[in-house]
Amino acid sequence: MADNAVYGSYGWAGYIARVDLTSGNITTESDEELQDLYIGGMGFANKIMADEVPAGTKWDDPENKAVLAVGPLTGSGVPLAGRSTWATLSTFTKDYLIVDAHCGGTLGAQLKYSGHDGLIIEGESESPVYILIDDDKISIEDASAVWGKGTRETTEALCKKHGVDCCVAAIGPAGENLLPYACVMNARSHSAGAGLGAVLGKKKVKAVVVRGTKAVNVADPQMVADLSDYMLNEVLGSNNNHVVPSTQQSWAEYYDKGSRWTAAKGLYWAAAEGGPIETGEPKPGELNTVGYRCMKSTKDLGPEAEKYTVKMAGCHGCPVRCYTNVAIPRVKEITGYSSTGNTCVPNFPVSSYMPGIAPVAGLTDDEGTLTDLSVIYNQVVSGVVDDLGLWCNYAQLYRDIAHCYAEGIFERELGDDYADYKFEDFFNNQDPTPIVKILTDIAMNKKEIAYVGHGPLVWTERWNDAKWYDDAKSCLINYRGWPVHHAIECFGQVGGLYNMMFNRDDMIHSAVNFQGCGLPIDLKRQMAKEMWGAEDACDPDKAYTPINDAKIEFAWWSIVTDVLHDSLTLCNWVWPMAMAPEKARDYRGDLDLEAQFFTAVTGKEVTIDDLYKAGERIMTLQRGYSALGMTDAEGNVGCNDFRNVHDVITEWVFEKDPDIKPFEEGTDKMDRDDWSKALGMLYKRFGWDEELGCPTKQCLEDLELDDLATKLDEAGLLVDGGDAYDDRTRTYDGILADYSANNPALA
Amino acid sequence: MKENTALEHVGSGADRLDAFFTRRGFVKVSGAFVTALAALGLLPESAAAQPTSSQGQIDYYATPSHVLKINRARCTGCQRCEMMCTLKNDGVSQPAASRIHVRDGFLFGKELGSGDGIYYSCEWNIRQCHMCTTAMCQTACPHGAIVTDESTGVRSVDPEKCVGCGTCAAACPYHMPTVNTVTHKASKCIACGRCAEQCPNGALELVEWENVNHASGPTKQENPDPLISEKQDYVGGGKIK
Repeated sequence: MADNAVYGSYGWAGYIARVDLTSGNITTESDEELQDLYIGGMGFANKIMADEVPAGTKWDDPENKAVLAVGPLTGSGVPLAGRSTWATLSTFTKDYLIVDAHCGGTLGAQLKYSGHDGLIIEGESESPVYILIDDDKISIEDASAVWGKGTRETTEALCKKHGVDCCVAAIGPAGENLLPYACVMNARSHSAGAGLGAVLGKKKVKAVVVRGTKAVNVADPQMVADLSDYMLNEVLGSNNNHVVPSTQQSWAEYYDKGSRWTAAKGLYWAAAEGGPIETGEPKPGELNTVGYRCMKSTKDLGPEAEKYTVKMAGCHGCPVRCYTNVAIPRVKEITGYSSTGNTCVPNFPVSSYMPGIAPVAGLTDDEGTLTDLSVIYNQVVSGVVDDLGLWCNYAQLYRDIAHCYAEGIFERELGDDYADYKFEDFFNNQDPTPIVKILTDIAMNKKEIAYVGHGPLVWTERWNDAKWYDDAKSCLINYRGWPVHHAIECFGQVGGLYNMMFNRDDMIHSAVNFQGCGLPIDLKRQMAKEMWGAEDACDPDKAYTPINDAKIEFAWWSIVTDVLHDSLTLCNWVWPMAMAPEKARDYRGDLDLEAQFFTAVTGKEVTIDDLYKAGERIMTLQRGYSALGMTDAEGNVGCNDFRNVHDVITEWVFEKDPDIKPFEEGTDKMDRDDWSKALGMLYKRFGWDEELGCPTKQCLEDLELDDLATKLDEAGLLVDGGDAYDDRTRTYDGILADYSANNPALA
Repeated sequence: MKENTALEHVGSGADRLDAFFTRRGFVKVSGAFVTALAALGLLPESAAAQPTSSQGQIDYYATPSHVLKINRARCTGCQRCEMMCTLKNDGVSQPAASRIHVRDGFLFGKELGSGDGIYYSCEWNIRQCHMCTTAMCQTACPHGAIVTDESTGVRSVDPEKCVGCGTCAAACPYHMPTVNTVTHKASKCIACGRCAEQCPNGALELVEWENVNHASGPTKQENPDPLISEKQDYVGGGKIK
């Protein structure tokens, strides 16, 4: 325990920086009053947006803000606490409502070490600038020399000026040119999406440069260390917390070929410096091999990627190394970039999302195995989009490009430009090079093709293709403009429900981690009973049963854990620790770890139920704030009918698999009545109005969201009713403690 | 040149012989004595090769018990080592004050143009204390604030004496000590091994002392790729027309 007088308060840095680009004023303010209710990260950023940006503001108005925030656990030494959350108004979904953009890399940790829990960017600059945060010193600097540059070149230039130990989070041409699909990049390939890049571009902010040399003060450093050791030794799995290996291994009772625990004997980081490094068979309890478990390059790109694999990497503070790092001569020849790689869509944008819509020649061999050409196609796109600062709306960009090509929409709409893009060469002639121009023109936002980067809300109307929403191949899950992010294919109604909650794709992984963890369904159902009240919370894939209370509890838990993690900040791509690789603990995870780490770091005694309540509060805050800005059927601003206006799932989920009925084996299609009932049950679980899905007077009071209640009341959007918190919630504290004998916090 | 007061701290001569023979401690003896010991095979030859001071004596710096051995090809850049180091030794998480350094090389290696870092070779140096036989940090400290543990031979910073001047960091060939920007005190590795315990890739290993000066991997690529910023208008993988 270090001196507060020297190192400041525990957990939080205690201050948020505010940079007003219009006036040039730079100030800092205490965040102490936000800490208990809103935690940090998403909670802070949403609260600040809700308080300061009037409902109905458009994303490109000067009144819109971009708020970056981290939480008490960020950079504290807690495993997987390297993420950060931005909030701003959506550039690409209906009504420009609030969205969160999460990113890893080194941005969050550096911001925290600079002595700030957040950065509020407001107003607009007249000329290109970047914001420099060097510990306490914050300044607005001239960015004219890097305006027009890609994110790589910008990072190099600003690191040359300010030091290679800085984190540069930059927009590329996409952001500068206000493309709604623009993102902010740091550490080569870590992106904060959701149009954030366009918001910064409108404000003429080329980059945020941060160097932090200060400390995160920790109330009980020994407990943070002990809990970390415990977690890494026996609770943590691989990426997505998959807890069994993907191949049969001597130590493992189970294996599952879908698992992201992909290390194996004979599988190498073959391009490692000094000779190949075998991923081998890292076992539970071997703390020093955790970072080999996830061999992501071959998992995503196929066996041909092995020879290009230098190593894995990832976010600050995370022992699960899920980021591919490949050095591919052909990609370097095409793009100029020595290394590329990602962990998510930009790692496999072509091979995973295009062939099902428009065949791409040469990506697979006769047996269906991904080829060397596939590796090159994917990594050319990966390098190019990251440099352009071009986001994809969780792969929607790639599905839409394939669709618009295959259906002749591009040929019809792009005029004389069409021939220049050489789509034929890209799709049919095994030539990856045309994609560079295609993506660059989208990012530059000047030619017709760029509308595909405005999102389906815009281009389907402009190019007269609204029916695309109702095609299962589109993967669009909501008419407001976002695609599936582990939706009905993930425990049926559970995934479907949480895909409706936000104003973009949900990015919730709590449920899909459990789905893909590799444990047998019978065991999962036993675990589901312990965690969510009944085995029926989870069904086998494509063998779904009607909605029930346990499924609703599972959906609620998936939402609040995700929101909590985005606030603490922890990586929801691996957290929560619902399962574990250790047979000795019957594969049970440890759901109390967030709370135990929180207490060890901040010194504040909490239970996991306290933190889940905070997650529910932050979700409800976003919901209420969205009601204030949402337009109704007549176009009036202010609408609380979420059921009919916001949470409208696309038709294909009811229409797919026409020969099979809902709840029969072999389909994950939804039943309309069951879906309608499920929505009402989830609303009730949150204390919201069962019909409308909006926050009620009761739940706002229970969650201490008084300001929001007042605003909703003034707008005529506040409704009575709603179950009292104590009547609708259950206790999670200590729920898996019987399996957690080695947990040092229980000693 | 200021007197190296660190020598006074550990004393000199025969009262340190026990430590001397176990390759621990830190002694100042006559050159003739060292030469004699070396001839008897009781000292490594390098000891006798140490420079002689104007007083006709040599400083012999016996080696610490342990040193970190690193393999940069295995490092995946998570930087948990830095957080674990400072949690144990400072009670806070503060990578910039860590006694092991990954963060400053992660993006571009040792320097822009090295051909290293996540943007280029995906290699970067894990910079660790070499536990030098001749510890320049200690020799250079004008306040004798870097002291030797008599049982392990490991040097550490005495915060009571340290004034945060940074001479240690400047004197170290690897610039390993850091001056904490919050406490304004220097810190250096004490071979506690906590960083290695938490390294998820086993890139760090605490071993019995050996010379690791040439074991850290290259500090730049032999033929580094040119910087993207040196290729004019290279955006998105091609020239923007």
